[in-house]
Amino acid sequence: MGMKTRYDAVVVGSGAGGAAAAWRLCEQGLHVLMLEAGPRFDPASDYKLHQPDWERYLFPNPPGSQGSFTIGKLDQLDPADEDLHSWNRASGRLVRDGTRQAMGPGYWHVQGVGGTTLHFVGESHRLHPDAMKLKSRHGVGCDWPIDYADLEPYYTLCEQLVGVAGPSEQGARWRTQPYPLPPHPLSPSAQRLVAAGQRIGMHWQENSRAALSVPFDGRPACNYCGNCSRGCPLGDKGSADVTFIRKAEASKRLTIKARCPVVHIHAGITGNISAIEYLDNRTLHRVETPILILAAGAVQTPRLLLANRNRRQHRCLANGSGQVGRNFMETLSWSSSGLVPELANSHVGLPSDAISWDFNAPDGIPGTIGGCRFSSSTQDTGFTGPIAYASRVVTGFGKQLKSGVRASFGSIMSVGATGEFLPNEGTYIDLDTKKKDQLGIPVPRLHSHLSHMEIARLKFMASQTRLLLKKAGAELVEEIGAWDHFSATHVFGTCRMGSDSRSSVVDATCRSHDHPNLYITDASVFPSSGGGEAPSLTIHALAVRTADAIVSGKMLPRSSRLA
Amino acid sequence: MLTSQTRRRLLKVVGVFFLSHTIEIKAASVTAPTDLERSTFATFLDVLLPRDEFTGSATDLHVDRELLSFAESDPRFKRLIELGCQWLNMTGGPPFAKLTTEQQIALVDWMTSSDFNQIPRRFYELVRLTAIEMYFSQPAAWHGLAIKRPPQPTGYPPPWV
Repeated sequence: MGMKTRYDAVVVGSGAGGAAAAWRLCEQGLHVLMLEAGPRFDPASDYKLHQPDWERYLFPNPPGSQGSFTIGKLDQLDPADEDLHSWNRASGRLVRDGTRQAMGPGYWHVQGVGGTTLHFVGESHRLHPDAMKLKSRHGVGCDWPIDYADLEPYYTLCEQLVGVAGPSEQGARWRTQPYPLPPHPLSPSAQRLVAAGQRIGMHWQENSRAALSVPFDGRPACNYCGNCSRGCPLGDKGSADVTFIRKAEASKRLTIKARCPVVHIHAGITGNISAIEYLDNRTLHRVETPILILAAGAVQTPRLLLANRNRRQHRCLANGSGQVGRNFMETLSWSSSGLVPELANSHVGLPSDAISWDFNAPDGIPGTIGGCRFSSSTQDTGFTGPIAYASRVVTGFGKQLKSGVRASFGSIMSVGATGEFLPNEGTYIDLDTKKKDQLGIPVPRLHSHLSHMEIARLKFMASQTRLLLKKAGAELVEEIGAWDHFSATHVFGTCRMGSDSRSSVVDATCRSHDHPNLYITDASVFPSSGGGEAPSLTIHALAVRTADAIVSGKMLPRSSRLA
Repeated sequence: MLTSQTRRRLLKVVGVFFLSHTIEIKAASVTAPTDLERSTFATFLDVLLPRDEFTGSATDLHVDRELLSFAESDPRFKRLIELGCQWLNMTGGPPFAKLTTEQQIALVDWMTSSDFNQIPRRFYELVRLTAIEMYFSQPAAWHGLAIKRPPQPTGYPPPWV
């Protein structure tokens, strides 16, 4: 074993939550060790957008850059909901065997310094205030133990740090300060979408984006290449590596160890987490944990807790409530794409640059509880290069194929919708009893079931996107949705936050009910998913709020009060 | 070279197909492609992506070499190419490469609407997808398109029309 080294706090995971918590602790004078299981990427050499064959690469995935997991048996598809099947013009139906299937890996994430923010498109959303009170106001799901007003100062702080560009108002999302940067110009595709929305009375506006509309804080402005999710080589996208981590490292109080997966978490007699063990270049190291912050995401955080047991009580860590891994909420998404006459250059501009919040409130969709939002998604869905058009839009072969690509390129308009996912008994994470990772730790297994409320929401999302495309004069060429595809980008809920230790894993400051020096600062603490909001800003805000609670001393265990 | 992401996608689909059809693949029994197989495969690719007034054909852009090179490292994909090429040469007449262009197009056109779970259609679909990726990832294939260069380092700054 390596030498013991003492830090004020240890953070596991360097994505949206780990990075924000570490930054705030460092800013307050604490020395922080950040352990990241994945690699540290070099945007200049790892990202491929400058290469001729750029379109063949998604975000890079070198060994260790994705956590291991398996997916449980997915739903049989009900023929009654057939109009929700995924298809495109070139390949026809994309799921043919009557069972919901994983699309790509099924769970899209990045394990690396910056975490999944490295491949997010960078939407920066505040939750709808009512989405935090689903149980008390709408009788479903679960309430948050805090409300929007508790988060608002932290939203503002994080928007300032990241450099969010946004509009002057966003309805129910009241704000005490304007966005730090002006909104981005709407892309050609978004302009057509906004016009179509106006024809059916929808209110569309510029989306709030963690991408710089003007130079800011030493970072350049976006140049609108449209491929944020493949990795931003400029550094204008507000991923955690160029924002919170950069600033934390500048404090000289942050030590980052990449490619250092955690192997064991040790709970002491008092209930405190006494130490963790991690691997660094095949050597096992032990480090004491006056404060331990888990921020490995809503899949790997519960896995770490379920895979580590309290030696005396032989129970999983932090699981007095039995809720670790339960209440998993995944991404309920839909997109429709169509060819729009006389639309050109739809491949340029910022992804998700326009948004409509009209149906985002929990009671926004007729006939079901839980909202959704609509956004422009032409670039998000990958219609940024000729390979996408040739493989998804144009049928056949030969000269017809080549001329079809030339005729259609730049004419796609996509509309995306993301909706609330309510917790249900069939959607959870446990440990796979048959598969272990290279360290011998059981991998997490993702279980997903769509309830009738999710199906109802999906149907509304599909009908509205189709209506928008119809009003734009589009000819439908592709539809992809969560009914037959399990494709989770946003995941939540597996260590839910709450006031009652019998039904939640952490309290309102994200501190474990069971272990006084254990905190969780990722989306696993979300009691509800929101009505389609991107979660990164809320994760940041919660994490900074947790760090403030730690530093205030109120939440520290007696044995580890900070100087 | 195929990217690791493409390779995984392709092998998953090919693997499921062979498994579901209980077609046994023995790596040691897979041999280098014959001249007939090479010419059949190259001709098939050029039917998919022919030369025209703007851009070269699949073989002009060396798509055949790339895919055969990849097949060398994976017995299942190589076997699929073998089976597909054998089928293309089973017309009873001359080999596929010696058919007239019209005959070649008619044969491939039949493949596009054949049973999705049989060799001809699966060969067509998988080779089409991988060939498209290899072909359109080359700037020589972009003439006539609104895209002239990779997205970075210059991006697409506004104003946009």
